[in-house]
Amino acid sequence: MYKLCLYISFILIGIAAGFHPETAIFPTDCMAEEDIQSKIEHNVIIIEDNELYQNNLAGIRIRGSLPLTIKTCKIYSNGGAGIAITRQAQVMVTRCNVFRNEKAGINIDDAIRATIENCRIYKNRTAGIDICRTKEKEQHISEINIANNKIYINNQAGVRSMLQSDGEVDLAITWNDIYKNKKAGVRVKNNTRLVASGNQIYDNGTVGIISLESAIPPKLDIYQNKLSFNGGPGIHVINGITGRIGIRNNWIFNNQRSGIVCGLWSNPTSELLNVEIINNTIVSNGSDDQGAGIRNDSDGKAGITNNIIAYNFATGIKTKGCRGYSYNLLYANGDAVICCGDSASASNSFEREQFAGCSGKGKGDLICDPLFVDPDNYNFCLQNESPAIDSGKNVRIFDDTSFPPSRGKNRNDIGATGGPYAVKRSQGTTSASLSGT
Amino acid sequence: MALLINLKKNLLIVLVIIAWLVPGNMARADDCDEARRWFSKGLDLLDDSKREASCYQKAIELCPDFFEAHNRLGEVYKSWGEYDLAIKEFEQAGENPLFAEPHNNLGEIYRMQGEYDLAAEEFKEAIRIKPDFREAQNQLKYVNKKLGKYDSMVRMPQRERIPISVFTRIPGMTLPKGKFLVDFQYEYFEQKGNLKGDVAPYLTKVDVHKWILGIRYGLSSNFTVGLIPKYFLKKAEIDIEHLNMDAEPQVDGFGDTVLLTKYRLWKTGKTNISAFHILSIPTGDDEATGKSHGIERRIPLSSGGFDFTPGIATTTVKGPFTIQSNVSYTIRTGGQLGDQFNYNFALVLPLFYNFISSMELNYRWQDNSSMRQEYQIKLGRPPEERETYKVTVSEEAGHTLFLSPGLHVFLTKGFKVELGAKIPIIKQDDKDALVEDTIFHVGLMKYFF
Repeated sequence: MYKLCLYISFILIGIAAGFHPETAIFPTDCMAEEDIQSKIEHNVIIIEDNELYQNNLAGIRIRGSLPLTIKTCKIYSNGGAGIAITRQAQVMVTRCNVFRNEKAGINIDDAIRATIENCRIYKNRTAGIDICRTKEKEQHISEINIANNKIYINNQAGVRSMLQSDGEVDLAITWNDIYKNKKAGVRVKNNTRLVASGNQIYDNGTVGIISLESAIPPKLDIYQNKLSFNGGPGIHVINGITGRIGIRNNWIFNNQRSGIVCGLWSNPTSELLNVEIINNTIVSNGSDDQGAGIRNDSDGKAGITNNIIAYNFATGIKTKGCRGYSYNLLYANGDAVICCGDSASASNSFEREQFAGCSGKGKGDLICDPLFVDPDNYNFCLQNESPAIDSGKNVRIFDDTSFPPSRGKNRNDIGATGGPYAVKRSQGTTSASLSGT
Repeated sequence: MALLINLKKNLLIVLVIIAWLVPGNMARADDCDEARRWFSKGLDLLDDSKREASCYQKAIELCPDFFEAHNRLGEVYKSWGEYDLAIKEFEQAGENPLFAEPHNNLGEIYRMQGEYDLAAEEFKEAIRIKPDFREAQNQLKYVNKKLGKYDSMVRMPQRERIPISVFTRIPGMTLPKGKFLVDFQYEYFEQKGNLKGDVAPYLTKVDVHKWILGIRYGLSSNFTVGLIPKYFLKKAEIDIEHLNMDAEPQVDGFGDTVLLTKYRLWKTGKTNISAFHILSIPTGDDEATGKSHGIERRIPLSSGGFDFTPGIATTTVKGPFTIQSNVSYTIRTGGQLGDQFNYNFALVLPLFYNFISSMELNYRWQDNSSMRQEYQIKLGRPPEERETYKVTVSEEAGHTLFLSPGLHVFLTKGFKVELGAKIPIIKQDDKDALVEDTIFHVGLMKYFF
């Protein structure tokens, strides 16, 4: 035991002092019962195949900017976070199991660069991954990449970025499974530039992805995700602005509140909200007499274009002032059905049901059956005859790349399989992968 | 020796009965603990893998009635598309009548197979067990639309468990069939009255601490029965100035046990009318005696006889308000306390989140009472002389009106906490009557539905 602690102390001191990597070791709060195995490869310290558990504080604490890789380790039941990353660290955590720690699985307080990939992060007492830069820290942008992980059953959010207003983080969350966490799947605040893509975010206790009230609104690019069976809305943007892409081509279904919500009533900062909601497929959200496909409660701007919005509990689109939507396809939202496929014959009352009491569709909006391939099995790809095909907004920036079932025209399809960020049919939802279990 | 033989014989009979009652496949407690560890291992994986499934299979092997393991194993099978296996597991998990998730999962499989009618039934069952089960509500809305039922309600009717006021308790007690409600209440109050007797007129005060355990069960959806034992701690304060005696005799023990039967006569969407009967059984000690500083005083824990209370209760929901009332007449056979007429009226209003307020008016008329009271006072030095005083306390018939504010907080998992005070605003004219001061009430209630 004493050998281990001595060894680790050397590592700590070494890194903090900026010694040459061959002599540098890394810092931990380690009281583990086995020695930490490490090696140096290409000036990168590698900690591999270690088991770190039951330490009083963090399982492993990383300080200083020497590159470090933590590989195939089991880090569990520690008194603090599983991995604590501080002081301009450059870290890669790969193929590790991080679980049952008394704080977050991985806590990133101040890193230049952190990559977390192919890990299982579960059953931690707070968030799975917690990013919490404070204003006292030196100013620089953190780059954090979270990819191909399974993040589940954590006691708070799956991934949480709760910065002070002058912190700054580039946060990329891609191809993760984030599920059954007690609170949100992903929760961001303040100066976070969030890119969330290709994730499956389901069965979380509250919302799938939430951007909170912030002095500096987060920049949001949320695309090609599957958000389903969450206890709140699929996506909730209390405050945020579109980054490069916006909220695009997501499958959002069976969430227990609205599919996408913008703003929060009585929220003063929501005037800053400015998001584009484009080419999403939003189906069967809501419960308990509540839940729209898309809802904008804010005084800010939310452009709602080219979305399929069907079978949602209370209504299809609900916005302040009945504006901001066009070229969407709506069907069977609320308690009224239009089944004829001919939008012209839809009566006014049916139309109102789709638009939360607003009279009149937006320009190019359709009210008809989108003809999903197999909605009972959560497959919301389009049949070849779908009226959503080639019916999107006829503007070049929305042109799609003609994935099947498009008829090959450039005019984009409405829904997640249309537009420049179209999801391939093969990436469509399937019952096995997305039943929420 | 004969006693020992009898004891052994009885023990043997009990063991044989237990062995007969316990099914052969019932797991031992140790096995079920081990099963929990396997279940936890499975949850650590939570990736719908074969390895995860094998953890649950092992758990079920050790503890066949492990409902959560059946349910989770079913979910894994469902994710593999093995619907027949999944249905089997969900059906086994659904044998627990309080477990809503398997029904939701079954409904989802039926939805996937296009069996909307069956799916709707399962989702409804899930919502019946757990009315705030939003996932099942969401799914039911979808299958209803598929069935062409576009305007059908997916919420359950007004939940009867919400409006139970603190002191007007009878109206809210009609339980669904096969469901339990357990509540535990504590009340504290003081009774004061002028006592005239052989000793001298003096003020008597009794502190009463009362613990009530109520267990109610729905025999059918209209017929509810309840068993409500009460436990008392009563402490009297006796201050006889001319004898320079200051004593606090105290007794504790079970009081009357109440047997409640209630039948719902009429029900519309927002109004219920029920008839009820409360039988109070004198299980407490009518002759309980407390001793203190040379004084022995009889402080009865029971009314001394059977009390019969027939009555009518109503509940009406109007907008956010729930109005409850009950009227009843108590016929006493103990020969001391007089008959009673009670009318209770309560207004219940949700405040915010899970907080509900209530305001009640509780009216009581009591007929003439004639209570026997007895003291023994030890006087002088040993050998002590005992003087026994027998007093009959008479109370004239009179009216009492209470105003009772209350606060209820619904917690998770069907628990409710309630706080209330019952303040007498009009008291009986007879100043000698032993009337309660403000009654303070704390209650914890658990709904098993």
